[in-house]
Amino acid sequence: MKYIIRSTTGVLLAGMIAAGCSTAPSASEQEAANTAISNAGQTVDRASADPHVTQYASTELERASDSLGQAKKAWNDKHDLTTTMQYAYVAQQRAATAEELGNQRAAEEALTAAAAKRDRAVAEYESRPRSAPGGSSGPAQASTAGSLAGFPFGKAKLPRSSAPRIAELANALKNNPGSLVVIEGHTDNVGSPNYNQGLAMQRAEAVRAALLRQGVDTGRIAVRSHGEGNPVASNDTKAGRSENRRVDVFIAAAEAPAAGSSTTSSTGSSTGSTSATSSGSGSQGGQSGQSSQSGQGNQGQQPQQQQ
Amino acid sequence: MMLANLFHHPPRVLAACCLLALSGCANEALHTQLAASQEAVDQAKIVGAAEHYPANYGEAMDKLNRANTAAHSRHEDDAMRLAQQAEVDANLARAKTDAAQARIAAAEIARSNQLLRDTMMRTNQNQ
Repeated sequence: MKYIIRSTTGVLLAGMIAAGCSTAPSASEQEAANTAISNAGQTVDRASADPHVTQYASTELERASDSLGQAKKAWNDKHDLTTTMQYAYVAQQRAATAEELGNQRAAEEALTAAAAKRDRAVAEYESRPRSAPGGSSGPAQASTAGSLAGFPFGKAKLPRSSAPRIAELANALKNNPGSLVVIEGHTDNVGSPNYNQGLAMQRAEAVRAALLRQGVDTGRIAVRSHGEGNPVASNDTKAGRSENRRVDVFIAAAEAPAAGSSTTSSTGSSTGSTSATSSGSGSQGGQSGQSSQSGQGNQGQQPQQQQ
Repeated sequence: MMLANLFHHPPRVLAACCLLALSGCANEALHTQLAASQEAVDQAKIVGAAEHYPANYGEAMDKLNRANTAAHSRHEDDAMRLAQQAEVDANLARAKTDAAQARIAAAEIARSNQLLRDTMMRTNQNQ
């Protein structure tokens, strides 16, 4: 490509000198210029038709249009193929960049919508009608929060201090088979918001992976990223930033269908039979909650392995 | 050349300065462009373009290197064109990476939403 441009430059220059810049371009030069301008024009048009681009990447789109205009001008005014090809290329890449900025925005909107949906679902779950806590063994709290702070800068590696907390958490989950975990990753404000969104998700994933290693089912864990948007300390100090590089863990405790508990029964029959009929798949009363959870965990792992 | 040797190791900003010293400020616009291109390539690397879109990132890197070489050997028009291309290539690689990461995050949260919904349904049934 570059060599073609160079050799044609030579030809063009020679032509211009010989005929006082008024030489007609050869057919192949004309075709090359037309193709480049037309391709760039199509990309600019496509980008202009995307509302996400016109709304959120207007600067880049304008630059692409400007470059396209300069490509046309270079060709129409001077038949300068090198300059024409250069501007057409720049226009093409800028229009493509504008399109990608639009794509990014669209994906971020989808992400925000999904996060809102998640929040509503969790709130609904936590506020759902419960049977009275008559027994002594049922977990009382609807939600408990824990936080693992001090992730290394720019990394999703679990801080060493987190190991006992993870073990504690895994134990609590094993003791409450019906409970759900929501893991939320956070970062400090260093780096682009978009990069931090990804990094925070990796941190949440790291905690999920650690819980999985401790034998917690995938299906019980949901992860999300808050990026840098939810600091708990000031990002102006080193200590504050370290605190913000964290993962919050929320446990939405279900009424545990634990053996011996009678709180889930609505008919007054024995716990064992109630659990067995309601789960439909439990082999033994009292453990049915757990067995259905592990079955679901296997389902949940399939999409994860695809990624 | 002495200057160039002195600053052989420090980061790229310095390299750009050396270049400036070497060619005796012959072409201010070219050096501004080279610095902008270097910055664009660096930014693309920071967001992970080298891993997500190695071909796009590699092209930007390659053009930037060739632009620097051309600038050294006083082929300033070539250097300018290559540097401009390197900049827009790097910007595209970066935008593609950002978009891909946003898509991954959106897909991830949609997937865990589904898991959460399934689990809630099951837990409610189990009560």
